[in-house]
Amino acid sequence: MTYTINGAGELSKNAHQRYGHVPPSVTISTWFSFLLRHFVRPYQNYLYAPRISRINFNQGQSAKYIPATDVRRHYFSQSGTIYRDKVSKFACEVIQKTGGLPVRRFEHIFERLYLDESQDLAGFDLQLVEYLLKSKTNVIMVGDHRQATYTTNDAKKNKRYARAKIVDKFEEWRRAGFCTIEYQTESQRCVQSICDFADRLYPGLPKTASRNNTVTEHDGVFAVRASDVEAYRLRFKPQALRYNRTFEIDGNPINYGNAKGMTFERTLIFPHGPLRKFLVSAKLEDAGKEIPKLYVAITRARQSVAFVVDDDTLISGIPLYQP
Amino acid sequence: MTIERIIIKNYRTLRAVDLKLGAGTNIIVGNNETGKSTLLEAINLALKCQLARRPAAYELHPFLFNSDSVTEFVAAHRAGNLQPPPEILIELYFKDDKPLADLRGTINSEMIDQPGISLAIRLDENFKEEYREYVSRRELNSVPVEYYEIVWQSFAGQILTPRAVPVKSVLIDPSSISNASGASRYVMEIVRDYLTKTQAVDLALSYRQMRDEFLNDSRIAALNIDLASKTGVVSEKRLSVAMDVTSKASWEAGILPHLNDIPLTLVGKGEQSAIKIKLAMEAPDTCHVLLMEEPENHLSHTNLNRLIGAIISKSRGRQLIITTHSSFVLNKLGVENTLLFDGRTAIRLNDLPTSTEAYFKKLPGHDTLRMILAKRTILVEGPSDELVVQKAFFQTYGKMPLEAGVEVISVNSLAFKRFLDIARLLKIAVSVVTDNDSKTAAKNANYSEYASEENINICIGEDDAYPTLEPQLLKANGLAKLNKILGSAFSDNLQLLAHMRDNKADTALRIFDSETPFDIPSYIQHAIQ
Repeated sequence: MTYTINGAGELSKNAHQRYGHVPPSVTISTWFSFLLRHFVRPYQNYLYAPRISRINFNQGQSAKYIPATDVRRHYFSQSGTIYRDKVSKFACEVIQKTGGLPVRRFEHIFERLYLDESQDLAGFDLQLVEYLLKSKTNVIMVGDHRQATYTTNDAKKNKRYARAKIVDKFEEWRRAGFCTIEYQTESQRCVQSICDFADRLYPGLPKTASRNNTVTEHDGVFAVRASDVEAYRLRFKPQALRYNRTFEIDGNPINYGNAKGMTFERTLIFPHGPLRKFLVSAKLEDAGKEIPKLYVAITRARQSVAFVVDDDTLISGIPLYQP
Repeated sequence: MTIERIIIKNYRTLRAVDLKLGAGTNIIVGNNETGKSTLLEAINLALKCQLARRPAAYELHPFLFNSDSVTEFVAAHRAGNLQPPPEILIELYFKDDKPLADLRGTINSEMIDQPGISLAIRLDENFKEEYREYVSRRELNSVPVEYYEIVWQSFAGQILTPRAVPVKSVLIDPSSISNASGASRYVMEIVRDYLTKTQAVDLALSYRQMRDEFLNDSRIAALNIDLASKTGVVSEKRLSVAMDVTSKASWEAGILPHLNDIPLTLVGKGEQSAIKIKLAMEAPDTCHVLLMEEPENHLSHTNLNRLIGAIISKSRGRQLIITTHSSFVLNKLGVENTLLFDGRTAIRLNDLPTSTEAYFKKLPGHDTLRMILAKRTILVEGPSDELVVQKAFFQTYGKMPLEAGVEVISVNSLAFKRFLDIARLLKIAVSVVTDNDSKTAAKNANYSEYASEENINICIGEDDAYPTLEPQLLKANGLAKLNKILGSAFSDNLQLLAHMRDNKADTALRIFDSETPFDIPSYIQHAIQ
């Protein structure tokens, strides 16, 4: 299970590449469809009768001033879709009301649960995961708190564990005996020079060791002059990454945040303001507040990451691509 | 994987059904019009979302809805008394089983945490506007199915697709096939279920290959060249013939099963339905639930016996839900598995003594079903007793027992207690008319275990001096009256009695046909009351 649809696609692609198929015993699901299917709908009538068909992907906190006792308006939009930030709250409420029926059901269906991108869990998700950790099903969570780009919901609950602070929650669980924690500082994906560059974003954390020993004609981190971009793209066919859609770029660019969980041979990053500043100054304080997003963008490529820079910009510490 | 319970609301004749089923064989019996076939149809609908072997969404029509509920809805509306439109609901509750864990939840009308499937036919939210328009007209006269949707989901609230239902079923309803093309389509479907994936693919491939060969045939090629020369005559475009290669024209449409080289559709109906049943049962283990309608149709007694044998051996490990009108089928498959269905619920013959069950399996000719379905039954010892009891009944009530819903069944007196075992469990009203054979006390003792049952009435001829029917008749009527009824002129009782004993059947017939009323022996009087 993973958080984004792209991530789920990546998992199924991996399975196809490795085995030729997704094994029938394996179910790949996104967090929300997992919640809806196994924790919301099967016993929803303990809380709310009309079938919950879809999620309302609202931003921010929904129905702030409506108490949870007003189930209809607290959890659901006018059209009856459940608010994104209330899905796991609803699930927890149902678990409580039924004395844990959804957890029993879940145990019958799944022997093991792999939860990817667990650094993005927040609010009632953490409560729900706690139920899962206590269940008979074996739960394996993986995550990288350096990639805590966004949270699955913006609920107030567990705010103090938001983003990179999630590790504190994991430590709490470990102390309570719900789980053990293994720290890994290896990257299967990126070559060492990409790891090293990415590590600059988190100077306080252990350094990453690469497990990718593949050597190609073009490995590492580069700066590419705007005037060379066309030729560069032709030659290396990198995946273009951009901050958001205000950066209009040809080909099928992917936003930094949406690239989470994805792997590409090569990437070409179109930097936004703070990243541009950081490339020039190499000072972390110039990189802005969205460090995790930058970290995700930089660590997508196996072999090469290239930053597009203006022709007259001087970049220190990154080799300039010479056509 | 077995169905434990069925709840149906508003489906055709079934207004409200709540029925529990057993894991193995379930024989549904009930009078005509109680909805036995509809019950099978409803189970099949909920398992496959199919009606008449087509996706149910294409087959929605107002008559699927229970006519009483529609009438009430329409009447209420005309009276200005607003009501929600009728909905159909079919729920299948499965026995908890690991492969069914994903179907588990409480999204069912009983809010029970169990694996299951529900199929609802109800107003589609997207047609609220149109529906408002529709009901605002006072002359509304049925259910507007155009605005209805089918919601097929698991008890976990998951919308289902046919593949997502792990419980596989086959519906065998030979009686519903009226024409040849229907029959072959039906058999082909079963053949398809029977084939393994590889076999099916091979068949499809070679069928396509054969079509290609057809096109390459020199005569067809010549024909197409000739047709092409007509371009401009019939149309501006080029006309040619080819085999239908659209997906609709799959092998099922062009292939017909043969029996001894005779197309199945031309084989006798009985043989056809037997084949269909056997094929369906031979299908690989993918079938968990067998729904079978009246297997006795079109079959001779011997063939039926063979077919039942096949059903018994092949249905092991599966759930069999079968309807029948045949006592033979019932006795053979095990009286204990009978569910007496009344259109709402069913009584099951639990706890029938094993010896009784075995007795009917060995001697399946008994008319058990006649007793089970009758309002009241009088069991008698033989044909003479039957005639006399019938006459006594007619004389008392002015109509024959059958017209009053009373069955008079003649059975070997040894079988009485077997029948009574069934009657006791089903609370069926039964009278037993039997001779005292000069052992009244012993006879009474023999039936003592049923004496306390309110629905069972044991009538034994009184007085050891009058051991059988004939002496009892003589005792009640006297020599003169009997002579008159029988058209005889015996001078003393002994002679008459000897004659009656030697001509039992004739005596009974004469009493039956006589214009003169006879005096009914009191034990028979007691039985027909």
